[in-house]
Amino acid sequence: MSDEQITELSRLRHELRTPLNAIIGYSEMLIEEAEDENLGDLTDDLKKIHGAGRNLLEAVNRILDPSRFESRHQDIGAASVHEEIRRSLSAPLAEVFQCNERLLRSVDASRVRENFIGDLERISVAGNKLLAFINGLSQASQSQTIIPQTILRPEHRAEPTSIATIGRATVAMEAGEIGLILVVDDNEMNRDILSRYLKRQGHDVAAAAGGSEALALMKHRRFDLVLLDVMMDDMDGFEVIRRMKADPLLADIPVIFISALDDTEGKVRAFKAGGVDYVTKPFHAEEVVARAENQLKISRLQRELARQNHELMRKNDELMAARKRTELVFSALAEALPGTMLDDKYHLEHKIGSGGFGAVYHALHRGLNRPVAVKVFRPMRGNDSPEGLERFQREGISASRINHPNAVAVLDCGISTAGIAYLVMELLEGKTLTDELQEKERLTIARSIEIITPVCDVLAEAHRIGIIHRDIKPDNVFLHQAREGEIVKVVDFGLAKVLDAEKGSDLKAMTMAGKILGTPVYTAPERFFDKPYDGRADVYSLGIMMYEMLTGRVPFQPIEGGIYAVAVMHLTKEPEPLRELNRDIPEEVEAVVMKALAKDAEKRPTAEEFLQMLKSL
Amino acid sequence: MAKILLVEDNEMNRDMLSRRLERRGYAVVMATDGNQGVEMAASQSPDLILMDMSLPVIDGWEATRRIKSDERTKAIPVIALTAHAMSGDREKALEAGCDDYDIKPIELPRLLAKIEALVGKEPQQ
Repeated sequence: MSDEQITELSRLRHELRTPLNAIIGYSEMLIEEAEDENLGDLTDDLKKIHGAGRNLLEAVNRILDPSRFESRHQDIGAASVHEEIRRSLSAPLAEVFQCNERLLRSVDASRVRENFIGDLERISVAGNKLLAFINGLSQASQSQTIIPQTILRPEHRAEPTSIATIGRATVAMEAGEIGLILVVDDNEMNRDILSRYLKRQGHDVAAAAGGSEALALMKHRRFDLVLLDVMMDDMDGFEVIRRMKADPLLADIPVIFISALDDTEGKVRAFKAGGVDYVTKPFHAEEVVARAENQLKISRLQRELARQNHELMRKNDELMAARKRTELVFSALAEALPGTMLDDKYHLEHKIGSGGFGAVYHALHRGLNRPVAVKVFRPMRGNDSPEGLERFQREGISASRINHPNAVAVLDCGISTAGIAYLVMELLEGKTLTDELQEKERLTIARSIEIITPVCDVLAEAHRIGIIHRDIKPDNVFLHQAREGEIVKVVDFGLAKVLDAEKGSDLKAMTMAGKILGTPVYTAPERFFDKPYDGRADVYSLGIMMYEMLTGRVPFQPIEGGIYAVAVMHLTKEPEPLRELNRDIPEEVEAVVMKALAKDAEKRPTAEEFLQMLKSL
Repeated sequence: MAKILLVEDNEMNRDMLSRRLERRGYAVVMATDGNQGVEMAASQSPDLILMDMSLPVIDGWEATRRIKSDERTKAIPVIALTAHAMSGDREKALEAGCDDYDIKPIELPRLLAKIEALVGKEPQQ
């Protein structure tokens, strides 16, 4: 066995073991708790999870046992090991998911500790990690490479774009912003005033007279918020927060600083240390309470998103399993289409691309003898039922056709006699903005404006006639090489909407198509909620795209945590100023991009207004 | 109430093991790397140390060696926890001065028996 193989085996063992430990450990722990706390009805499923977890571990140990590889004369190829892992792990993993989902559905939040549900969710997360890992393995084997390190990075999994509709019930459940708050101040009077005010608002309050006492209290109770005095004798506020941030169990508790020092330096230091807000003494208790409740609200929002994300991932997995077969049929079909006639009108010649919605072919309009591009849609929600197809036929063109030189010309749409939805467009030559961004680290200011301005121009026109694009991203901006030079063309107008089966529910469309559309890197904050939005959502996406062109990266990267993490960033995090990433960007350009990135749609320019700003640069 | 110092860098393992030990009436303090483990062994005077072996900063083998060579801490029993089920690890752990050895994933009854043997039987809460 080669050194490389030994390393690879040990890496596989290590990667698999962490989620396995979580499944086994947390289920075992929950069995104990369920037994102690008279939750006997839950133990059956927990024991099944635990048993399945042990089976998974045994299988991993058996398959990856180093001695097994030594005893054989011929090498066991990576592909066969991967296949063996996939085959042996699928069934017990399915059992884990099934039982865990049943538990998550049946557990009544009023009956169990908050941790209980959290622990079940950790089991799901671990299960999802394993699943992603296994899926990654089979892909890696097919391409004959050693497993890429990127497998577990969420952006490499196809993921839904919206967390909008699913978690509404949980949102309604938690109406008030009531929390457990720790007041830390060495001045007894301050402590007393704040505690009383907060209690009057219905919060649970604990108080500590110093830093060490505060940290000791945090070890025993899970606080939702800490109000932290800066100057204390035994240990100052900065040291307290430093220790909190170093402890993974405390790191995410929001901290509001309270300080007698009203200087910028102190405030900056407080925020840099990880404080979420800052109040100066002498304080008005009402203000402190309002700020505290504001923070509790943000925390609640983050928890909700986490839950919704979890739920969405689960539904998504189900959906994907169901869809996988149709996918296989479609890919077979896509390969078989070249050389065939579509509706007696279009002769499909060769495939020129494929993406979320399906495959695109270079085709010839037989009557006109003119080359066109035909997009053939894969079966998905919205076009996999007779009503969906009928709607596509009826509304496909009006929803996707914008009469503008910078919008791709949509010529025809229909349903073939074989029941396949298709759209016929002018044939474009060249590349997408994604390609250009991949070739160059970043674009120049002039080039960025040159591309963004026509895109914005089309959007202004589309919004005027009531069409929102809904999927503005570099993939959908085509740099068409016409005889007279480059023309920027925006493609896929309104498709996200027309492909949704249920009228008036764009967000559902986004969710359902989402698995195929990718991560919500370009999605406006307001779209994460089930509320109406307007064209300014496209302007936000435009802002993200412009940010990416100028700095070489999108402001909110899905590093870990997938949709949830990105959604939270869109909602709460300010993008890093462009000029910190690229000094050459003029202040006025930065200011224009930041306007498009306003979190509140009301404060964002419309496409028309944004166009004027771009033109004035 | 016996006090256990748990030295473990994985947040999840730390969370699980500490909660389960606390349910059984132990007080648990935690360190997240080898260096912090050595410091806390001296400052917290625990009755027992559970030491993960693959730790950042300094690993569990080295941390145990330092604990066992310090007059103030050398009497504290150390149980090594490793993820490797290889036979050499047990010898290596004992050689580093560990008083006992267990493998991950943790089987709690087995680990509890080892803990009890080293600190005396604790009443269940």
